[in-house]
Amino acid sequence: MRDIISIKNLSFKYDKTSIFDKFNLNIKRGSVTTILGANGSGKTTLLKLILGIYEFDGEIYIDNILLSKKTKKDIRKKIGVVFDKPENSFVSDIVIDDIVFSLENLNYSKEEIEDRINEISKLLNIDKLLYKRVNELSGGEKQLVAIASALSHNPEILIFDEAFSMLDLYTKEKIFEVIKDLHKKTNITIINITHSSNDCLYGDTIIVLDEGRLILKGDTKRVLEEEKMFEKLGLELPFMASLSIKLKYYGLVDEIILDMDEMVNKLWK
Amino acid sequence: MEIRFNNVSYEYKGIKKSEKKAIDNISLEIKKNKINCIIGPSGSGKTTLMELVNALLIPTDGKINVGKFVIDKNKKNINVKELRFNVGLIFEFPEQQFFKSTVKKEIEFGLKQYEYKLKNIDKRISDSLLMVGLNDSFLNRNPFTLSNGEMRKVAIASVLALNPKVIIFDEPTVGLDDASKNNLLKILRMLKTRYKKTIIVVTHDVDALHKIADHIFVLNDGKVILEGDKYEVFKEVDLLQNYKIKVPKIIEFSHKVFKSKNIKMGYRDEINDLIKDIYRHVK
Repeated sequence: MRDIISIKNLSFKYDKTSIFDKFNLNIKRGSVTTILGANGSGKTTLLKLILGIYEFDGEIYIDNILLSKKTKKDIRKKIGVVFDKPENSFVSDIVIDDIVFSLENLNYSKEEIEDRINEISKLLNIDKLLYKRVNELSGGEKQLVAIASALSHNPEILIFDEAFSMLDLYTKEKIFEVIKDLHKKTNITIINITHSSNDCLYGDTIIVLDEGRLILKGDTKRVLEEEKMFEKLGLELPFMASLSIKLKYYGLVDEIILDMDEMVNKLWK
Repeated sequence: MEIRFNNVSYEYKGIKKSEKKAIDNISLEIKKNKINCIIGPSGSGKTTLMELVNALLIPTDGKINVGKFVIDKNKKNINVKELRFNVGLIFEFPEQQFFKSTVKKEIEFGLKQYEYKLKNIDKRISDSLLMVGLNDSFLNRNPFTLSNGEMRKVAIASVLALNPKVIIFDEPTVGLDDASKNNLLKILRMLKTRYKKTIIVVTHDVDALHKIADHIFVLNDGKVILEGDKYEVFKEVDLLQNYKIKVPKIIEFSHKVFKSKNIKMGYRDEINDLIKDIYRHVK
């Protein structure tokens, strides 16, 4: 099947309040998807449901396996998650020990651990960080190590939960480059959960959630044209999308252009 | 309240990195009744600077004047409790420090530390909630059931209840969605204009900063490398880039046009003004 995640008729109540009511969603294998929504839209609840943390009505399939109490552990192995505050998930002082720890927990042999660490450190270009102390790392470096840990057990899906909100713009753009490169090399499915449209410039699909409902799902540029909907949901459009929409109105461009160089060259040919 | 740094240095003791001073001979003046923003790459000394103003850290060299208080090595000079009563500090993710069962008790907790000074505690609580746009219906709510934006506001209210003259915010916009963020920026502006507070904001969120800052200090390696209003600071795109600081997108765009097409667009705050400029140049 082409879908790596398939959610059918998902209903979930929290404290008698219905968060999801017959919710459906499919995510394609190898895609890069942003799940966008304001605080309280149900994004993080959805993540917890996918990870099997809450019980629910309906069906969630991950890599064609129906999520249940029995399959929860196997499904968990298919997913790696990176959170907003990486230091909360570090268990060791030294970077490499942290990655080794998660692999040992999954009963990897010594040789396998060595191979896996070599592989990941090449993939993310972090060999210089491996023997550093965790508290010596900058915010961006910590997030790279968190990505390395999330990738350690070779998951099919990598999920970022507000993982970039703590980073300054410069670091954020550097990390985006690393993730893009990772996706190119491995074709891993990437899901980016965020409340900031500035964090979804990267990715092919955007899913917009509001109060547990799927408001819109589509190609990134298509979704970013929905200026009115963004306004209604209290979300801001990224600068380049706003600029494109206004320039389009004056007939100076004919589509959303997210790359600044491309825009400048298009305007001044 | 006047805040002035005179040749202030701070060195962390007992840490391997301590060959380098966290704050290195800084002299500066925080602008009164203005929104002062501090930016800089991670490890540049932003948080240290902020903690010095509140005497959470004491300078290893130099002195800091905060109104009538003098903070220096000889810390006998100051009554720290009284200083902090005047200088409120709101940490990153302040809502994570909540532990009471109602909003009222949460705000009351801070006030009780200063009870010897305060009357009308109930009124102070209601007033401080009002300052952040929340009404009395929140008083008996459990803070843990509020939305992220509301929790942040309650945390700010609990500091405002002390009526400090200076308020320091550490990364106030982090973790908030766009609507809550814009709401918070409005509150900061109002604290300045209506309540005449001096505000210090430490942030990496240049787009938010661009909307509110009256004065910006750029820190690197414990030194102030650039200071001024946003026009003076953000025109130095290349210099800031060298220090791994990105300027707001709207300025980056104008800069790019100038660099690659040699067309000067001027400094634009609003996207609509930028569009007019583009239209004029392109048509």
